[in-house]
Amino acid sequence: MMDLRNLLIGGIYLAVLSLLVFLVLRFREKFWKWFVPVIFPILLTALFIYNLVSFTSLNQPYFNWAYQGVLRRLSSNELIDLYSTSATPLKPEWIYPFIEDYYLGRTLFIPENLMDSLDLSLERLVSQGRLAAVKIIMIDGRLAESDLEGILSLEMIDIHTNELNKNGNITREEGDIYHFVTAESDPGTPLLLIRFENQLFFIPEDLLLDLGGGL
Amino acid sequence: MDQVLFLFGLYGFGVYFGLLFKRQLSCVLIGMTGFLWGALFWVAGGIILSAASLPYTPASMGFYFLLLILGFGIIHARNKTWQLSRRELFGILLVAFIFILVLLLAGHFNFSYVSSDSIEQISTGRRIAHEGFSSGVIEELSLRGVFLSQLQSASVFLGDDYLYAAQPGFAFTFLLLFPYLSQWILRQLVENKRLVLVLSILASLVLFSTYFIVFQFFYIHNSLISAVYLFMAVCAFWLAAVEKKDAWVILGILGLLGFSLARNESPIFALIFLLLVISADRIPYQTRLRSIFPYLFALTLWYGYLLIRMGTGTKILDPEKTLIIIGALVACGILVLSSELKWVKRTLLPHLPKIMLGTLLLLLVLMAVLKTEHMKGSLTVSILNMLHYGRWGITWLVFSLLFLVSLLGPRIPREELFFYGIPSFFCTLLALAYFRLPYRIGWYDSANRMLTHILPIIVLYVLMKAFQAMSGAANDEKMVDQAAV
Repeated sequence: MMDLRNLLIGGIYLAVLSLLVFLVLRFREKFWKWFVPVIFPILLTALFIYNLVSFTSLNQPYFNWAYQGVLRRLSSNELIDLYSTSATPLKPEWIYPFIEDYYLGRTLFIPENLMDSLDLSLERLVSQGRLAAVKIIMIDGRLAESDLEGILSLEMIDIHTNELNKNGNITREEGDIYHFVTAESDPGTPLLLIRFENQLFFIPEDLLLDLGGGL
Repeated sequence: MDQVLFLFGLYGFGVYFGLLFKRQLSCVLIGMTGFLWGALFWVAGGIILSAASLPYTPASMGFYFLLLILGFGIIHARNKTWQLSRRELFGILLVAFIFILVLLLAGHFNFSYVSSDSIEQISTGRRIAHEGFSSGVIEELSLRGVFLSQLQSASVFLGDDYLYAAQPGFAFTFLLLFPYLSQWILRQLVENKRLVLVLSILASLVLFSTYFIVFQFFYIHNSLISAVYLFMAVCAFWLAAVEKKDAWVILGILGLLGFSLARNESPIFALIFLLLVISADRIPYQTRLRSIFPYLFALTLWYGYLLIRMGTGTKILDPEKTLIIIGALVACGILVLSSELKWVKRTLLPHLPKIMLGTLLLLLVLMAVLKTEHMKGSLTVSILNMLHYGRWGITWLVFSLLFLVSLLGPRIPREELFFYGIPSFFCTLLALAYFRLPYRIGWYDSANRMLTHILPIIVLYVLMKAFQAMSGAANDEKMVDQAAV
């Protein structure tokens, strides 16, 4: 942390401080009489110009992978754009507002064999995701690779999450990818949650039936 | 559009509240601070409803505001504070017009940014609207302050994903408030109005062009919100002591309340400034009781509520730390009550700033002995963040220098608030590291973000000291000239 550059900055800082203290003690009233109306405005103007000039160089992705954010205009006022523009790694528990956004008041069916690997809470799917109900059903919720192409052809929004460590903190490892199928469907149709490897799909049942095939 | 109207509604309500103090304060200031009070009343109302397990809905909040409007309306009618001159009306409408413009622009040019903390707070806000203060929500509130989440909860009622215009709303308030209050305060020290104007504008330009400050105009977090409330509080307390107007005390206390609700550790920092206000003994006892007591009572209730609901708590706020905060609030309450007793007034109050700073320093030494590497690391990291990694540019480098030099200047009236307040703030910031993981290198470090709270106060203090020194030098010169004549 204390590299040569920082030591140099510290050295210059102490030298300037010592000089200023000397000037204050040596000249007392005279120092302030000159400092406030003359030196102070010049110093503040210089600092303002420095701030303007250095703005772009500071508004660059930060060295820490989890906090790379820069000021950038969002393409819309939606949460998805806020998340993607901020480039902040996401926890699975932050996806509930999207379920509320896209599937408010629907019923979600979760295949029983997905329950063990699911990072979502059934209670919060209802309370925060604003689903009407969450029901566990006894079907195989794992997709075959051959079915994937049909589902991926649907209009959807993707959210990439990261793995969490034992303390619940975000790690660099990629976690589940949540796909929210937003293609037009009957609002009364229940939803189904299906998985292919680390990809989870929230898909309205009618769209799934339309896809047919082996699904 | 709903969001802009909602935030503008809060602003309008804040102005309506601020006008209660029209006889003592300027209408321009009331116009500038409208959003602060409107947002604070929204947050306070939301907390009361949710904590009382009453429905937190648009209807209940509407009813709450209706009651407040009626209550304030009666006071307005009695004091005739609703009557505005054409000039006063123009001043308020002008600020209101610019404010709504800022909100519209914030929606059109949305530069919002979130870190994981921000997402948690937005998420908690949405949970509050759906679940009230459920156990999951209480756990989150024990990690981060309640203010931002409670405000963000309104997004659910508005059908928006989050409040993107709230942060720019606070930023705009700060942009107006800093130069305005700086000028107001500096004019109490010198007569040279032109120089005051030039330097307060220049200082504002420096402050609000600093990258990390601009970043926080759009960064959905509680640091900028805390900074603007604390700045308002400190300025109001100083002006209350100098101008002897009760309105400043009330605004100061409300500012301190907004600051205290923004982060869980904030009441400790708030108490530092409050103790300095009490020790200065410039506010009449009755005013002290009427203003400070409700603040302490409200915060004690809130932390008591958290204590009952939090279970084992979190790494930031567990039952032990909550009890410490409650204990500090109660002790401060006892001090306020007994502050009129002769021996307290004569023996304790004048030395309170020194005792407070001395105790904090002693505590730091003790902490450094007990956890040497931990505390040394936190101190080094904080300095490095200020000077290099914290995205501050060279603002801290310059202003820390100016601060140290200005300490050598002549005293300003009621200097204790700054002279002891600023070092005590830093000591407390460092002391907090003892109870948590060490501070980290980077802009996202808590201590680095909390530096936002104190920087505007330091800039103002440097300006005050410089002007005081200059006016002293000018007066001395006049006296020498007169003696020579």
